[in-house]
Amino acid sequence: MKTDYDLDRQVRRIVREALDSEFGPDPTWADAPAARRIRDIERLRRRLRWPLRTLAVAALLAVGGGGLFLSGALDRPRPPEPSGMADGWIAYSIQEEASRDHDIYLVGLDRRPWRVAGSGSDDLDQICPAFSPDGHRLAYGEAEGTVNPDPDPEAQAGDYRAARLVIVELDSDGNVSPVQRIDVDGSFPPPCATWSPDGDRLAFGVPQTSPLNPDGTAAGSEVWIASLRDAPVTVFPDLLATDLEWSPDGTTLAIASGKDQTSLGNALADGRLYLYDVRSGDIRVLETPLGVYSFSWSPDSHRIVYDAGGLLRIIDVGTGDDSLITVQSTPVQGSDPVWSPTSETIIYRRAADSSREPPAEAVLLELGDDPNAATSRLFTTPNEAPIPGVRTGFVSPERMVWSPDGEYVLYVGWWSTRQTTVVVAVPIDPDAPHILLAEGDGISGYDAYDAVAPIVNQTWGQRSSRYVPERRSRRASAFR
Amino acid sequence: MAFRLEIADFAAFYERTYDVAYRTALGIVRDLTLAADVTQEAYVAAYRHRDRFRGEAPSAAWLHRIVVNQALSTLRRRRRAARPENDLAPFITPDDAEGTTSRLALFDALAALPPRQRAAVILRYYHDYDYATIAQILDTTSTNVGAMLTRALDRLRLALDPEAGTVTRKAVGER
Repeated sequence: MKTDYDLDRQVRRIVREALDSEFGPDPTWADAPAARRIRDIERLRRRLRWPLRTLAVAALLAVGGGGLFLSGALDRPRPPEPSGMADGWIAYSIQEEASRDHDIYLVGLDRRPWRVAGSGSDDLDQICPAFSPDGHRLAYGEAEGTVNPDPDPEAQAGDYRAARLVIVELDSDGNVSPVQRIDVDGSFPPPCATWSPDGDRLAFGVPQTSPLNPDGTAAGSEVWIASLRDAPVTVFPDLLATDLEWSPDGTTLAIASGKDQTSLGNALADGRLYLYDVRSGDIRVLETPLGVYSFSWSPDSHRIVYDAGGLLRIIDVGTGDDSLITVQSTPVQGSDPVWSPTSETIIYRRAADSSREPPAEAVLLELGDDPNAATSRLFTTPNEAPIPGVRTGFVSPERMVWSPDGEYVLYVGWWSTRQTTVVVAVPIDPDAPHILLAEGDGISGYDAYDAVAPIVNQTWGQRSSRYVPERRSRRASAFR
Repeated sequence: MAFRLEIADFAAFYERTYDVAYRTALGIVRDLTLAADVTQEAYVAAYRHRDRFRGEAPSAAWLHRIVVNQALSTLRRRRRAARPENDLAPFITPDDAEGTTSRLALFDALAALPPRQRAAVILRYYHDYDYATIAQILDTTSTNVGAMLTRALDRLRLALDPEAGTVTRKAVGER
C-alpha cells in the first residue's frame, strides 16, 4: 500500500506531466479573444463614463466676429453632379485585422459590403465617414500611419504623421472619385465632419488633446468650418469640441465643450454649449447645469437633447430653458442621445446594469408634449440579442444614428456570441426583422478618439429605406 | 502594488501567465475547448476587476482565483449537459504501459471528483499552493481545504492502488 507521501508524489508527478504538456491556443495577446473583448470594454467604458471624465474645452477666443479666415485649403474645382443617386447606402469604417489599417466600406440593404476608401496596405487610416445630405458625397477623416490599438495610451502613438479631411463623390454604382482634401497638418486624430443641411459646409474638430497627446490641454485644438463653395475655412481657436452638429434648419452650428471632470486636458474645460449663427457670425453661449457631453438637435431646430453627466436633458435654444427628461418622474439616465429626424423620438444608450460597465442597451424614448412625461421602451437588450434567433450572447451598441427617414436605427455593436463587431439596422417597427448588414472585428470606434469625442463610425445616406427589398429581407431572416 | 504595475502592461501579463492559467482551467474543466474559453473569460474578468486587487496575495494566486472561479461557475452552468470528454487522456504516451494505466486511472478518478475537490487537487499538486492560499482561492478555510484534499486523495488512492481500496473497504467493514 502506498504511503501518503508516495501518493502525494505520484499525484503531483502525473498531474504536472499531463498539464505541462498542454499549451492551448497561441498565447499571443494580439490574437486573443480577451484582447478584443478588453479593447471593446475600454471603448464602451470610456463612452459610458464619458460624462464623468470627458475632456473639454478651452476658452473660446476671437470668435465673436466669425473667426479667422484661411485660404488655399480648398483648391480643387467641384466636379459635375453624378447622374445617379447614391441613396440608401450605409458607410462605415473597419479596421483590417492583419494590417490594423482602417478603411471605409459601403453596404446597402440589397448589396453586400464593398470598399470605397483605403486598402489594407496603404498605411492610411480612413475613419468616420459622413454622407452629404443629398447622398452624393462622402466626407471622412484620413491619417497617414496607423494607430496602435493598444489600450495603453502611450503605445497608441503608433506612427501617425499627418491628417486631413477627404471628400469624395459617389456615382450611382458606388464608385468614388476624389473631390477635395483639407489638410489639418499634424493634428491627431483625423477630423470627423458634420455636413450642413444644405451640403455647402463641413464642420469638424481639429483636436490636439488626445491619448496621443495626453498631457495637452484644449489650447491649440480648433473647430473648423469649411465652405465648399467659396473655399475659406472659418477657424475657432482653442476649442476642443466633444460633439458638434448643425441644426436641421441650417442656421446654427452647435458645439459642445464637455465638462471639467476629466483626466485629460482638463485645464480649459467649461462644459458650455456654443451656438454659432451662420448668418451673423455671432456666437452665443448656453450655460448648462452639468455640461454637455454629446447632443442632438430636435427636427424643428428649437431644442437640443444632451447628455449631462449621465442624465438626459433638453434645452430650448431660444429661451435657454433647460429641463430633465423623466419617465414616470424618474430622471432618464443614459448617454449619446440621438433625436429622430422625423419625430419626437430619441434613441439613447445606457449600461445594462448599475455598474455602468458594458454591455450597453438601447432605449427608445417617446416624448410627449411635456419632456417630463416621456415614455420609453427597450430597443435592444444584452440578453435578448437584436440579431433574431441569437439565443446567447449580446450585441452591445455603441453610438447610434438614424436612417434619414427615421424608420431605422443604425448602430455598430459588439456581438459577444461571435466575438466580433457588427453593423445592425433595427427597424422602429418592433415586428419587422432586424438586419445584419456587416460584421468584422474592426468595425468599431477609433482608439485615438475614444478619450476625445465619441465619434460616429457609421452613417446612412439620404433616401434610405421606405422599403426593405424582399431579397434582403429573406437574407436577414437567415439569422433567425 | 506590484500586480498593478504588472497589469499596466496587460498584454505582457497575459502572455507571461497564459499557459499556467490555461492548464489550471483545463485541470478543472477537463475539456480543451472549454478550458480555452474559460481562460479567456478569466482574463477579461481579471482586467475588469484589476482595481480590486489589494496585494494580499501574489498576483498569480489572484489570477488563479479568477480562473478557478470561472471554471467552477462554467461547470455549474453546464451541470446538466453531458460530462466532457477526457481530453487529457490522448496525451498519455503509450510506451509506458504501467504508467499509462496509473495515469488513466488517476484521470478517471479526477474526473469523478466534485469540481471543488478537483480544483483543490490542481491548486495543491500542480501549483504547490499551501492550504491557506488554496483556502483563499476557493473562499473557504484551511481546515476545509485539508478535508477536501483528504477526501480527494482517498479516492485517488483507490484509483491508483486498488489494494489500498481493499484495505480501506475492509477497514470500513470492520467497524
